[in-house]
Amino acid sequence: MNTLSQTSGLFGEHVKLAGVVDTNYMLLPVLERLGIGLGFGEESVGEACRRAGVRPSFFVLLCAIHTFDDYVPDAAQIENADPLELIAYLRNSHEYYSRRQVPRLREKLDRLVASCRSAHSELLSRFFDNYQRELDSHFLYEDEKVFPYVEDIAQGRPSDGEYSIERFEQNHENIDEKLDDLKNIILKYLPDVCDETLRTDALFDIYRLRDDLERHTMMENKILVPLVEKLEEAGR
Amino acid sequence: MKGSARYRIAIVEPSEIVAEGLRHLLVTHGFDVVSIHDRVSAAAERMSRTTPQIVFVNPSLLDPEQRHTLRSALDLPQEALLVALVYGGFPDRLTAQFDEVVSVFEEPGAIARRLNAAMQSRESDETASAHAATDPRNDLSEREREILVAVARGYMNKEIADRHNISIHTVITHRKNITRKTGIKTVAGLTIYAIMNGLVDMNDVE
Repeated sequence: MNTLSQTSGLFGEHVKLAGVVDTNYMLLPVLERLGIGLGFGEESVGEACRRAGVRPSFFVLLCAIHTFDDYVPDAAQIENADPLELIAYLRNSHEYYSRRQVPRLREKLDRLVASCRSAHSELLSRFFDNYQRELDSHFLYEDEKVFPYVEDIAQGRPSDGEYSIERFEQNHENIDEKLDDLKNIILKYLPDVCDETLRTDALFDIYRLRDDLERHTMMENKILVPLVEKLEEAGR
Repeated sequence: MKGSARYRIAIVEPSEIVAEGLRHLLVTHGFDVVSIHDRVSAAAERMSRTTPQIVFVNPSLLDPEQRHTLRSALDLPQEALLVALVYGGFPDRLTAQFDEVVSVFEEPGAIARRLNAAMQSRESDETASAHAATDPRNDLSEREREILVAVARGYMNKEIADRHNISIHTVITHRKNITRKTGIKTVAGLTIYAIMNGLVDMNDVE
């Protein structure tokens, strides 16, 4: 169990940002999504957060989620979270996945498939097309329906009473399944005539994306939902 | 009719009448009933000590918010067979977590046979996957390959059940086993797997 003091020791205000990245370089995309640019010299977490308009407590929470497997935020952290700040981060994450990570993965897959030179491997391209579409529509729904709802509630604007976060929770589909299948197919079942290097390269990207999406989904389910439920209750 | 091994069974069922009836039938057919509970929470505590190989659970006891799977709530290993014990109609949604579904109206001998067959199939799967590292081809059984082909061709569970003269729950069980062995969950993924392994022709699928 990671205590608050452990996480503060690693990612707290007085820690150097460079040190944070050294602790876990997988936090680089997190910095990007928070609008914290690189080239920050000797800046501390506190200074960088102030510059980017991010609360240090949120920064620590994000770092913990992306560093420790199965990190579960405690009730205090959830209560302390700012819904608007969280939504902004989730929106940026969607952008990052849709506009950057997934298209790059697509390119790698295209090259891999071309190296196999078989009709079978072209099926992978079509499979990935479908996956991309599924992912985009999943994000679109959240960006256009769920997040505005939360923003309204958080800012005290009355909603029409039609939507609730419970509906989101129940309909929150699993976007990992197709990605898992793709990973298994490339890892286990693609014939070995395909280029090994391209294959490994694509797999690394798939594993990273899957890992990232898992944590993203966890934040929506374990932080956003309880947070909004409290707001809904307060509003009644 | 005794099974070739005395499998250990736990029963989680709120009705004492049903639980006792089931216990009697299972013992008569050569099984070893190690514990009976009327609630999941009580059962979970005993499971680690009694280590049942088969667990009967009445789906009405499932956590309605489904925050935890039954398997994790009971802390059951993957090898343990999770069986839904049902009285009547039941939605797929509730039985999805189970490996098998048994109705109280089924003939006892048939239940015993199914349980033995399911356990033996699992045991041979385990030895099969232990050898899988040396066997480059898939280790799906003949029947599983047939079901996979049907899925890849776009047939629904009900159609597959009718065509093969088996129950829809058996089809679901086969599909779960296929997923368990290949690691592939979606129909689209299974289709690619089937094509790549020469089980289905690309043209059959579109």
